[in-house]
Amino acid sequence: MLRTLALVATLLAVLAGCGDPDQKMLTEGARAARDAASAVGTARLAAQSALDHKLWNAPATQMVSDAEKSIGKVATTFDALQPKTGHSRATYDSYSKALSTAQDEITDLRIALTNNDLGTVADQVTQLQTLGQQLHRLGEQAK
Amino acid sequence: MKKLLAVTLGILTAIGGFVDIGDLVTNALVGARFGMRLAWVVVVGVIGICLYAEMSGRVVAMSGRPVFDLIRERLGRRTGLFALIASFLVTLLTLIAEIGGVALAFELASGVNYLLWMPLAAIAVWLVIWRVKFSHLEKVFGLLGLLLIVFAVALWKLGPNWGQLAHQVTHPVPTGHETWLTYAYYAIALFGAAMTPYEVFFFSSGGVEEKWSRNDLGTERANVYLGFPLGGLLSLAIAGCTAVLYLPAGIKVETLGQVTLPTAVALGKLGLAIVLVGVFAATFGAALETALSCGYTIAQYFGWQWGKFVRPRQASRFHLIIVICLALSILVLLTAVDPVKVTEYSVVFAAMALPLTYLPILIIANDPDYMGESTNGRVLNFLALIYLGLLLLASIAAIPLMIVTKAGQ
Repeated sequence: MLRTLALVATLLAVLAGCGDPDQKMLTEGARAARDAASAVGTARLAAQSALDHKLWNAPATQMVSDAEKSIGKVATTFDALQPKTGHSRATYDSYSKALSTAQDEITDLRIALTNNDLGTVADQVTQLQTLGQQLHRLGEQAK
Repeated sequence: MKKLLAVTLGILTAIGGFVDIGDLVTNALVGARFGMRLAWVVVVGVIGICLYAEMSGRVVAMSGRPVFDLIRERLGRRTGLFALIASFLVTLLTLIAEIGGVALAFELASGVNYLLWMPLAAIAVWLVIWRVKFSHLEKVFGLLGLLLIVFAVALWKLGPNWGQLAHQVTHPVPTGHETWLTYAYYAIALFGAAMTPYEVFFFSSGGVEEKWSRNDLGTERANVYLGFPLGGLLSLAIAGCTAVLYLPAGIKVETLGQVTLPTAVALGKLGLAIVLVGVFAATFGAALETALSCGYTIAQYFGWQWGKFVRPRQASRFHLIIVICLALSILVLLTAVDPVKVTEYSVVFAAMALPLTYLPILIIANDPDYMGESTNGRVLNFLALIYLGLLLLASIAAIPLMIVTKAGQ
């Protein structure tokens, strides 16, 4: 009985790792893009609220800093994936680039907010708006 | 007039005291991901906590003894120990989450890392428990917690499409990228957040601290049947805010800052200031309640002197347990574990421990030796048994769902 259970468990584990690698990469990329879009959206909303004088600098910076940490985790997890085919490598590169760009933009926003550089904050908010839409599109490419 | 004031104060305290870090985080998270499609779980959870809190309050009023004391006597040491371990561990996990919540509220207001605030928060909890009268600490933090009504005002100011929110409430199915598995996982989390075991232990032990008798049953019932449902409305307002602001933008709630941001967007700095005080009061008040509940459960099980109605010297072991639990909370949080994640796990583990908490209460509430003529009626027993079935279902499904969904991802 135990041997049969162990066999079934091993088979399930092997089968789980045997999916289409291209599709798997696309699914993981889309999930990472959705998580990144969430962080970008939060950072943009916090910064916009600070620009509108609805939020003090300290909480706004804290929220953007949290979003930066969040997107950092998403990017690190995605970057650790191993593309197995040429097609999945291309998918990997495109998603990885988008995540990296988003991460950099949020870092720039955090620096601008900390320095109370409201001009740059306003520019970053506009850029994050566009970036968020791109990430949303990438996120919708797979379930 | 004096009686009416006391009842009103009790109801207001119950409303403010209903929401803790588990409710704040889980409702905001669920609102952002599912909109109001899980609102029915809050309603089910609130009815459940009303049923069992009233029962435990009645047990105290009729027997003059707290629930855990009776659990050991009525069900024996071994069964009592099983219930004690499950309830205590969940309460300890909740305490860790509440202390983390207090520290996060200060981090948000000051920009200073929460790890620096956290030991101060734990020490403040200990000082308040040591020095402040039970009735004062319950009322002050309960009433300050009422400031969370700002979420309801923010929801109104955000100008939602009420028809769309109503549509979400009446169409309780997962949409978009969500699956039935994540839907079920968060339903259990919400249920666990609404029916957290410590609420009952604190409620019943508090009844002993305040020397409830048969004459206080009316006040106790008013607190439960009016205060808790109104507290549940606060939970729905939190979910409503994130449903309006975050769901269309695809934003997931992962931090306390995101929980509070809708009030700033809707009401500006004043809204944020009010909500931060409210979050502090809710989490600090719940930290007091969970720390006391840790002491209550263990001291009552072992038959030690307990409570704030005696001098600390007379209940030294009770106070020692509280100090140890607070020290453990500091140690766990110092590992830099995310307090919001601890909160998410605590409500799911709470769901697992629910039957072990509520079954003994149901048994005692039906025992005429303790209750005299005030045992449960047929209708109440019927409803309580239905809830016990739900609690069992949630308890069994919690861990498999946690594994399959990778904790709701």
